[in-house]
Amino acid sequence: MNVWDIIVLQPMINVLIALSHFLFNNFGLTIIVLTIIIRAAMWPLTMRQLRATKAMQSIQSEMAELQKKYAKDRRKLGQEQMALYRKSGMNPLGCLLPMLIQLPVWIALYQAIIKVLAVAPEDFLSLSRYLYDKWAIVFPQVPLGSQFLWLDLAAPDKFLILPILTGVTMWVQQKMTTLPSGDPRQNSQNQIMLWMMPLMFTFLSLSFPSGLALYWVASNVISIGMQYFVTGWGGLITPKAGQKPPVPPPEKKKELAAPSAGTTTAAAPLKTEPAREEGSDGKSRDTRPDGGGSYPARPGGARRGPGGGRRRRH
Amino acid sequence: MKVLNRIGRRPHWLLAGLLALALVAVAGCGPRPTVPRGWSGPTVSGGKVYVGTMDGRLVGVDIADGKLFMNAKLENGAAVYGSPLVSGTDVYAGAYIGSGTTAIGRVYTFVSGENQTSVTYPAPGKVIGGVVGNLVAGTTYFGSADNKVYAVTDRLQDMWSFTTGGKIWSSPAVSGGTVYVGSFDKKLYALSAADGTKQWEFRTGGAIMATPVVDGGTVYVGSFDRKLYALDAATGAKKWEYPAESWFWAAPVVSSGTVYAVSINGWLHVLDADAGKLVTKINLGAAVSAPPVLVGNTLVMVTEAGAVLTVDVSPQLSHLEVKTLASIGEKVSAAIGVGEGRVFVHSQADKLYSVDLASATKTELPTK
Repeated sequence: MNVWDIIVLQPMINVLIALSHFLFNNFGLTIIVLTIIIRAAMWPLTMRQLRATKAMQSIQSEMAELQKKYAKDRRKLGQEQMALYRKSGMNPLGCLLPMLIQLPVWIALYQAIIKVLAVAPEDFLSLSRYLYDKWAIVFPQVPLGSQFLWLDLAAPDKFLILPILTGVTMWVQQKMTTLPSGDPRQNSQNQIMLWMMPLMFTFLSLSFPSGLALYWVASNVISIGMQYFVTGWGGLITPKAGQKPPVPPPEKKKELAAPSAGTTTAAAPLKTEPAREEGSDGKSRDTRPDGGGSYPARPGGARRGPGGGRRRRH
Repeated sequence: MKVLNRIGRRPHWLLAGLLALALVAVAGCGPRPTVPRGWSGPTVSGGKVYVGTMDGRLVGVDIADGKLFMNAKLENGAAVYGSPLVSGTDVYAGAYIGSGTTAIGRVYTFVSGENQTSVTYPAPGKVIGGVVGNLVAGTTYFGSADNKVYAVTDRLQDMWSFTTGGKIWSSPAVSGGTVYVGSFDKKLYALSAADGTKQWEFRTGGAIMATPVVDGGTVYVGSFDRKLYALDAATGAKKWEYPAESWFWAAPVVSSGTVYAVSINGWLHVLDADAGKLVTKINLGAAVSAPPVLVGNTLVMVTEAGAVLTVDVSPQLSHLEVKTLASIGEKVSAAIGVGEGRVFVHSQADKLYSVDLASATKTELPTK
């Protein structure tokens, strides 16, 4: 076994089989519970991603200004963009981490499904090498049953329901995180991402075992739920004509002092616009006239401490 | 959580973590071990050796001159996992066509030496699951991935079928008018060979992949619950069970009151057939998925690493010694065939070897 097998695939296989033992030998239910466990383990990273997404949206206008200002100096533009990221207290890589971490999970789950469902003798024969000797329950448990609802989890869904669900849930999730930007180029990129990812995963679900598609659907639904509690419906609900779009929470509305040439913007003071005022009922209200950019947090959702924006990192 | 937050605040740690993650992912996406291309065990009959291939051919080699005399193409997409069955001049092969859960099965009969099939089963319009195990002679019995065990005539006409609760990848055993077959539903079934009615069933703790062995009124069968069972052949009552460390994938050998069983982790368990007491167990040094074969007093085995091993079982059983007869140099998953003083090994590289039991001379035989 190589390093991949030992640190990713072997634990995945044994956990799947053991979970199945405790979940009435129902492999579909096992995949859903595994998804919940993985997403729970990734909770801190996911929260960072959600916050980073919100923060990213909140600096779009500043970013557009920088792009306009340094259109002919890419190096300087890069420096200023990084400075802007630092000032707004976000790490652009933070958006990617949860997705990147899930990539090996997808690969391992695909390989595990093929092995534990005994799709073909050659895959099944090698399974015994992956089972933990000390976990007595895993040996008699395999092969796991592949039937779940109308699905054969080892094969693509022939009724196409799961691929469609994969695409739809991914589109909803993407739509919630895609917010209008002042930059037409950004908007165009957002639109491409909004449709490309769901279409790609729908296509993959047509050819991959439906057990993997079930993981994607469950994961998307969990993401939608988490996203809802942090940012509400986000970009999913388009403001009606004549209605101002929802406004971002106060911590997002950080206005940066325009970076002056020859100075590092990291040292420039961060000016925070008084975005909300306390109402007589003690609840905060948005008073900004412009809106746009991001959306208010849900009541009870993740909130930052008093004083507005994220604490700056030093 | 604190650690994650700390990592997130330091981009260089994040980058290092991402790089490590990428490397692991690349390892996962990278080349997997080669898919075994030799699953069908060789069958020796009348001075000839027959073997099926994963690219859907039934091959025959004349042992005396080492020349290919038969190379019959079954059909596109077909793979042969089980050993061919030879009955007189007829050669039968079961195939697994397609992949995954949508695979279907077909059984073919050929006249030895001819490359055109004479009859196939099932008849057009009927579909059966993939055939993985061996076909068993007489009336032809075989299990299928559609959970059924089939009995067909020598001209492949329907006789009966019996449905179990799981896939059947093992081969049935026939003795005294009864067909014994293990299923992935964890049960061993005893069926009337004449009409397929169930005589009894016995539930083990795990799926059954190993072919049962019947000897002296007792059925011996290994299970994925890591136990070897001895059952009364007439009633299915358990006589004893023996726990091992890993699955029993291969059928045991029973001879002179002794059971020789290999577990898939490469241990040979020598047991007293009456009581199931362990006499001795020997580490074979590598995983074993092929069943052992007893030739006279010599137990012949092949490991997945490609070592052909022999054990002389004539001396005191508690002091058995394993000898390496030959090394194939390629991985082996298929059952071995024995005949004409030789051991025939079909390697995972789809090569066929003969090893002389007396001189240990290894010869590669043609398969194309």
